[in-house]
Amino acid sequence: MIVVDYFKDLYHATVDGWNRFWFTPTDPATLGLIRILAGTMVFYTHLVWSIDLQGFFGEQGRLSPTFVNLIHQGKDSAWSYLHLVDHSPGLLWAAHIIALVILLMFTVGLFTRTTGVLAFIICISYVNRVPGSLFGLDQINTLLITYLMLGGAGKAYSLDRWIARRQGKKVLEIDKNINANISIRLIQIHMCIMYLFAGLGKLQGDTWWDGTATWMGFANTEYRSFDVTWLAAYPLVINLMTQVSLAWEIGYAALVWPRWTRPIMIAMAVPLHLGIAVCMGMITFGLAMIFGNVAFVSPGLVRGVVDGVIRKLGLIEGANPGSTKTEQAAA
Amino acid sequence: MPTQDKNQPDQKLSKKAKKQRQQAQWSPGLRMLVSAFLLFHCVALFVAPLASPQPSSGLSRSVESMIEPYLRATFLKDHGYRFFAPNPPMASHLVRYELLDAQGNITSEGRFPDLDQHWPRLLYHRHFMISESMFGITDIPSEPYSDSPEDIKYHQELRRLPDAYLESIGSHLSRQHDAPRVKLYMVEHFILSPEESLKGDSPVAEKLFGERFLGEYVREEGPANDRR
Repeated sequence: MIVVDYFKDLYHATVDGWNRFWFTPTDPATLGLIRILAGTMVFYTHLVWSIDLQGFFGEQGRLSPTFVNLIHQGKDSAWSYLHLVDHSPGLLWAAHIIALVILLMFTVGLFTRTTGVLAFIICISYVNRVPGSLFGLDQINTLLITYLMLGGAGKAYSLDRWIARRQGKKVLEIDKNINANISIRLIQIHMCIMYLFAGLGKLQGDTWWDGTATWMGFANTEYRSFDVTWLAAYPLVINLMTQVSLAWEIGYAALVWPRWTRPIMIAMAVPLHLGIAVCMGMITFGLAMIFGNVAFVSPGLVRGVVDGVIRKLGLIEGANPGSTKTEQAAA
Repeated sequence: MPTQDKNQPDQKLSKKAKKQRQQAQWSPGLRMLVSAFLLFHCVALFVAPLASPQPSSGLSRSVESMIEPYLRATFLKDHGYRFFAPNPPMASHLVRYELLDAQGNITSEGRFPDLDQHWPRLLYHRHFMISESMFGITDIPSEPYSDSPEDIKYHQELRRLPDAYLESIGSHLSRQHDAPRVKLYMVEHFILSPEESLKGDSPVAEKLFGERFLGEYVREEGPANDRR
């Protein structure tokens, strides 16, 4: 009987935990902030493609459809609507401009439900069309857009809410919802998986064990945008930086969840990714990873900071004018 | 999942917050459906980096092949998230190209990525990733990873990629610069050790560069037929 009781309790505890984890309505403030940050990054990423749109996406560009098809092993599931327009510069440009407008609309939270889905379609289409020129930025951009699409991202800090208010519609000050919670949870889990494999993969490499790996980044003239090779005189500092960043990556998936260690893990993400951004010239990637970490910031804190800034700037009339203490506690 | 929600509403919540919470609850059926999808998606998130890059287990690769359409459709396939792993690169890879006339005389040359030419930094990085991926693709091992039919087939497909990539890049450069012939070279730029750096060695000294010929693209004169 003890064994049966154990499994019964285990079942109930698992199901309750699962439901609490995924299906508790949450304040969409954090998701709204991520929408603005990630949306801006995705918009910028696609804006930069404009400099050489034909060279990257044209039928006669660097990455021919034949080569791209071979990379995707001829699988249709690696879809991209750009194949329909890449033969014509006019059509390609029209599609690109429409894509930029949609991404901008999503960033400011206009018709967010629809533009969220369209932003996902745009992101996937672009990355699947140019497989040879991608890097970590594209992975994190697509990750964030995928989960922002699921709903709830427009329920805070969006033009949708501002317009609804102006039209006199009833708008909840804090529109807690399950969709927002699912989106945030998926971002959190995906970030953990990303760091876990990044850390575990490094354990196979000698330079992460002997503490010289970060030097490889600093000394690489094709990557770096800021010369810190003077650190060669301080090998122990290089060792420390290497091994702290490795320990942080491996520990992230476990230590970012407990209340006491979470602020430390998130705070460490900032210098680590800013270091990559500044020293290795990958500003976009570094910032995008920090935006992903915002998923672990509580909506209460986001409201405390963002609402304050909005009110100070007088940007939006009566924008989410705070919540009661009990509502904040529930959030 | 369909179960009794044991979370009692917090007594301290305002009436408005309680009402909001009640309205936001999903039916057990919907929760079950969404739970099934979430479970599937989380499995997919784990399987993708477990299966790729190699070495990976037959189990993870089998599961990956079962859910491959989903992974590709959501841009989760072949990532692995091994940023700067197992080791950061000991060298950067750049592509140098020579533009030739029909008689084979060099008329001009260039390289990518090029910090002076490619701005902003993100655009530079796009070009950098092309040269790095060309290195990866043209440096495919001559033998498959194992003797399994799956690996042999995968390896055969991989061996077709270098030619297709060179053709793609070569024909683009040929059109861009109106050059009948283009020769491509892979340049390896090794980095200085901390000791060399302390001695004051230049990070762009000639000894740090190596080069190998990748191939030549020859444009077929006539109606839009190109060949290598």
